Amino acid sequence: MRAVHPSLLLLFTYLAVFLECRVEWVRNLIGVQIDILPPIIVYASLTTNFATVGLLAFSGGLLFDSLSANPLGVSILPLLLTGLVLLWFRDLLLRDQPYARNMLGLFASVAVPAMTLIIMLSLGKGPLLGWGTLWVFAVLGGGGFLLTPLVFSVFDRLRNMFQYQVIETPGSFREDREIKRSRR
Amino acid sequence: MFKRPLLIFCALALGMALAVFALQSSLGSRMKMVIGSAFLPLFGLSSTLDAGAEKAAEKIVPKSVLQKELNDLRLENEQLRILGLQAETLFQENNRLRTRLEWQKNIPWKRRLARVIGRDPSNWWKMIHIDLGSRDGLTNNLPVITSDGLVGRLGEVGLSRSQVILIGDPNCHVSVLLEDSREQGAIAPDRINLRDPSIVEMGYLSRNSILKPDQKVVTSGMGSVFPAGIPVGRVLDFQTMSHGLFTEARIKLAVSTSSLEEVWVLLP
Repeated sequence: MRAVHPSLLLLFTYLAVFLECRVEWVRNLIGVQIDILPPIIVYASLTTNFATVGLLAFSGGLLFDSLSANPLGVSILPLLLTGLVLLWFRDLLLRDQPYARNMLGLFASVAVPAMTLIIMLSLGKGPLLGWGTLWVFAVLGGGGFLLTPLVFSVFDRLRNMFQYQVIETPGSFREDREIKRSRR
Repeated sequence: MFKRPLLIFCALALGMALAVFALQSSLGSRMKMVIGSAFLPLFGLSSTLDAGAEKAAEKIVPKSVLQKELNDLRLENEQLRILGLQAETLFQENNRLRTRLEWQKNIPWKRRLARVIGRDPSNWWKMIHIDLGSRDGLTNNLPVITSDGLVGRLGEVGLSRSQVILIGDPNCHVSVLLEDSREQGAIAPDRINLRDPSIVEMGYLSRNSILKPDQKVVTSGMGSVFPAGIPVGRVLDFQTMSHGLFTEARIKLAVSTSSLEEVWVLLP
């Protein structure tokens, strides 16, 4: 049962990368493809352990780069670093608050492509840049802001489906049998 | 208690990431195609679903519309056949003249139709995936076109899937010329244009170039990747750059790269 949750996350990552490659209407509409991997990393780092975060960053990065013109492995480090930073500070984060989830999604969705871009530029790969890049970051950040709570709600439901549920049983305390003590 | 395993794990993960990173480019691209083959079942499934949807749509279309479309296509086919006959005669005449002048003969293009199955998921490159690979006779750098004009060139080629680097990507440099003035230049983009991705810059034009809007731009045949004469686009506008040292023109591409469904790969 413990392996179900990480497996679901991996499966979802695989499907998400494929959909980003196959679904074109978002890109045709706003000129930018929204990335779902950062919200998944945010969810994984706030709800699972570092082994799952590492596995997810490694497999997600490799799968993403295999379908992209990025050099292979360039997306792994940004995903991993973002995940580890969130994992490190997760006890300080208000992870149950929707607003905090929104903001973490925004942070991750801007940080991951920014780091990817920096790595690619330092490798000498010159991707398309310009004033339009600001729009790309704005859309990616907005996408992360909106998608992260959605990812949380989907995965929380899925996790509940595959987890043993706590059955609420009535306790042994009965009000009518309470011994009242007093100094009368 | 918590920090030591985390640090070990971080070091391991970073090491693995750097190891993948440091792979040689040829090995890296081969690994890329191998990892990408994990998506083959999904690509196959989506192609089947697309074909099913097309068939369902065909059944919904009224017979009268189909009949009209068939008649139009027959008419167009007749016209194209006449044009083809004329072109064939011209082609043979051209080859005869080339033989007399002892020039190299023109070789007719062999081509294969490919279906577009995906697009680069990142926002930094212009690249599509097609459903043909090395088992269909494809190799790196083959030109890719549609009936409207140039699309790009083949990048990495897998067994049953290939990447096409689109014109407008920084890795797709095309030597072009203005059809009427034969002025040469190159398309080597480095700036993102989100407002209209079908506009690219043509640089390396001399400062004395005679440019007019709507001039036709075709491939020059230099660089041995793209054959000469493939339509690329039309001049939108132009400006002198670097204090009048050279001219740069904006080209509206003949092919809308954001709505490609099928492309032709030119084989050697």
